[in-house]
Amino acid sequence: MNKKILFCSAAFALVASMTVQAAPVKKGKHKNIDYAKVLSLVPAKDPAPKDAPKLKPELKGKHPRLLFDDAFIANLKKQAETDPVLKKAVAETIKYGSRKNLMRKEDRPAVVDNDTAALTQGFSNYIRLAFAYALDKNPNTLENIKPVLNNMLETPYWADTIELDCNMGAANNMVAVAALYDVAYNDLDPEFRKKIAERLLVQARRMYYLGYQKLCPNVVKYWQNDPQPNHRWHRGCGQIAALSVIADDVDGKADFLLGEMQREFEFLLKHYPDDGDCHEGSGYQNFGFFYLALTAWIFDHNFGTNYLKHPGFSNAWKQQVYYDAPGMQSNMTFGDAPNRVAVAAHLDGGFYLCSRLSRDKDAFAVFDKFFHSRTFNPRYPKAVYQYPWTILLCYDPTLKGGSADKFPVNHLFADLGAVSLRDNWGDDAVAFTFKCGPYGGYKLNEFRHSMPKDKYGNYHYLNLAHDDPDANGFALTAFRDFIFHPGNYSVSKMTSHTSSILFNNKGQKQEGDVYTQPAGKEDMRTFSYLTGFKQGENNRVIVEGEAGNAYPDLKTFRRSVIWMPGEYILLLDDVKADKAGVISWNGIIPKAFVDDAEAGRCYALTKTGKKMYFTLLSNKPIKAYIDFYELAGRWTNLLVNQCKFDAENTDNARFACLLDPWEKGVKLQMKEAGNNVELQVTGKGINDKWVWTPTGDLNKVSTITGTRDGKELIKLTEKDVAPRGSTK
Amino acid sequence: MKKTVLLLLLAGLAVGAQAFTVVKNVNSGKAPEEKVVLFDKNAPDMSKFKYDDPLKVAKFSLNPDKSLKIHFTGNKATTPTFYLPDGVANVKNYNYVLFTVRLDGNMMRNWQGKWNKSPWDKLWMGAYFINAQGKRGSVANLDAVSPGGVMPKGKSATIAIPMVLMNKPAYGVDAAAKAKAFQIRWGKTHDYMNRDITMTIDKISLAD
Repeated sequence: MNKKILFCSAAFALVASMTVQAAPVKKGKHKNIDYAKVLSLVPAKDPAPKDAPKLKPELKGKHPRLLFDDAFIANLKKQAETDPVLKKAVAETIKYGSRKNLMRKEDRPAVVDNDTAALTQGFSNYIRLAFAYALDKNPNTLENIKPVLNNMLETPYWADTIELDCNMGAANNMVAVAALYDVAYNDLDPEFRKKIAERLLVQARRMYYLGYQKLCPNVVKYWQNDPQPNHRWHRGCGQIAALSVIADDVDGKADFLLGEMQREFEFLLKHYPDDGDCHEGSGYQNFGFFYLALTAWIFDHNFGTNYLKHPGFSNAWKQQVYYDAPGMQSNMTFGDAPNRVAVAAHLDGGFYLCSRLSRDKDAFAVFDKFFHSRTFNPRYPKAVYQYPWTILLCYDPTLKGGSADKFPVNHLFADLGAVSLRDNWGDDAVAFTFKCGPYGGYKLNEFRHSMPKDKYGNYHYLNLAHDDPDANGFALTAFRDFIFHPGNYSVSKMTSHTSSILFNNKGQKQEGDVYTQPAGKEDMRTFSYLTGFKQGENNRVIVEGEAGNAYPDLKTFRRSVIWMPGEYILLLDDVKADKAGVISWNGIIPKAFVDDAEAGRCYALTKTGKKMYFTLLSNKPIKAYIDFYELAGRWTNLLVNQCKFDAENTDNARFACLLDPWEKGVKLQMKEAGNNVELQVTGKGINDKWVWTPTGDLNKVSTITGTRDGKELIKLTEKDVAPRGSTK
Repeated sequence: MKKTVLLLLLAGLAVGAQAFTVVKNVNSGKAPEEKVVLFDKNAPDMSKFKYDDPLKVAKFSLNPDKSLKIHFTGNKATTPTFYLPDGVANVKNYNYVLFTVRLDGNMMRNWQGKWNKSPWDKLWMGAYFINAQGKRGSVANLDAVSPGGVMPKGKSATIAIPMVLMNKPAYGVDAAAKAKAFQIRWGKTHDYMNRDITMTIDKISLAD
């Protein structure tokens, strides 16, 4: 009998030791959340671990180790002795961390209330505090760390919202607490430290079961549907940070989740484009990239994996730079971005990781120039810019010495079906972007079509919330201003917000939502795609896209862009509809004026009074409407002009638009000769003849030949097929 | 003869391109022309002008110069409403609402128990027409139509709100066709923010 009691007691103790002690169910702020019920959905224990990654043996019991170790910090301090950026970053960080009463006791830390506070205070300032302590063991800094950890221990939830402890805010708080725990590990009271470790595990379990396993009630389960939502990447980073830093502190209780999250991460990387680009635009790329990269960093440094070798991590910076509006301290991106003045913050600094990985000095030079062009805050012009903590982790001064001017000025984003073209890397450059790719990009659509359909016959759901119905749309900046506007994070996504084509005043499929939804039963790769691409001498480019299937009532819509840097840009459109109607050439310009209607000439007026002339001709009679138009955005609302040129009562139209951002006084003549279209562009030192043969076909590449004084300028033929999905 | 005919035919096949005919041009240079005045501080008699906030949040008063003062406090939504004079209902006949207004005051933000104030210069409000049932049509965002997106400090400015932004139906309601009032809406803000902002209105009119 005694033996039985002993055995049962031992068994009970064993089970108890494997069972995580759940935090007592405390009430949060919200009356509409049944906290006890939600937390009851988190099981008492995890299944047995399966293939959990193993912490590097030399790291067991060793701290700091999560983001950096002592050797990294020592090297950083040494580099800071001679490198001005790191010198400033180190000094500022140390000073920040050691400010008396920087952090204090809070009954309810703001970081648990909403994502914004968690991202800005948690992921930014708390981790900065961790670096401060790593760089200088100032007692004041430790006295700032302790109340943060205490606050997070005392507060019942790390995201007290309807998405209880499984939203982005919770994830950001997990990274922040993990970083502080790691750096102060050796200086914390062991009992206090143990509680933090246990709490990190509790949070990771809540995130896993309520979030990844979709158990949290009354929330839209959007981020779990596909591998690319950056909200998913935030959560993964939170998980790995929390689990890695306690891996050897919780008697193996983190192992099950470590295994699950490693499999999760490998799934994300499998569907991460080699270009590292983001179908939601450079704004959202910025929002998500570093979380994915930091997850890889933590894995590689703590568990000996090689995830950072994925080419996406070396290449991602390009979308930031190629969608920078020259001289404007702003993006000029498609997708959801406000495209307004931006100041480089911690997520921007994370892109220094790319050149750190590639060891490309010219890439470093380009990105460094870009980053430092955004360190002035016009709202607070007297404020001294402070470097974010990501500079300390990612900036590598040994890469200095390259040349931004050597880096290619043109780039094709094959996964997106987009190009960015500019004439130089200076602030007065002319930059032109053009896009004709599938919603979601190719890599994400590959994933979609690898999954089974649902019971209604729909293809697998994808998150396209921040995609625009903008196929064959373009943006142009010149004179440090938007000429054809790139958009401003629209609250209702319409093709009419883009410089593309409308038919009967309607745009492309899936338009009209605040968050774009996928076409359930259609393969979106058939909607819009690049057809031809050619780069010639002197960085000239011809690129074209086909978007006929993106419209309900068009047969074909081929737009060809001829980029003649330093001289002019020529856009050629061939549109065929299923029925007669109004085919509109749509241009979104901040301020537009008619200059000479008979010659087809207008101009865009910039804020500094510069005029960018453009000429629009067609093979049909055209009615022009220059009207007010509002770009209603999430952060800003802009009153602009819509320039709509209508070919009425027709089922086909061709347009040619000549843009003159280099002030060459170029003029355009156009005439059809059978199926060919002959165009002549004349201006200062320019007398060019273009022969354009549209195919009227959904796939074949058009033939476009340009000559000057009998010599070929550039030619696009059927052989110049644009890559779709990869440039390999 | 055959050659001539052939040449003529070929010439006819080479079709020249066309430019365009301007049907509408809001940047033609013509200034808005006032047609109907809803409110004017300088008018001798504005006793028939009606205004209120159906949500009972905004506080109205008249300044000594007879401009209309609206004081915004708290963080709840507010909808100052300015009623059209009798006989004016179809506002689609006009091209602009001219709104001469000035902003003063601060937005208060609470951070870790301490209130911080920052001057507020943005008309972060929607403007639209409502019908007799209080339902609205399409919305113009006032920050978009403010020059530079902000109001000048310490002085009034006239904003020309294009009717094209407010004359479309929304949710099936064509309020602009049978409008009862011009309304502006400032939505609820965060719990940790409080408004202490004054709007001074000198004039509101409909213009061509």
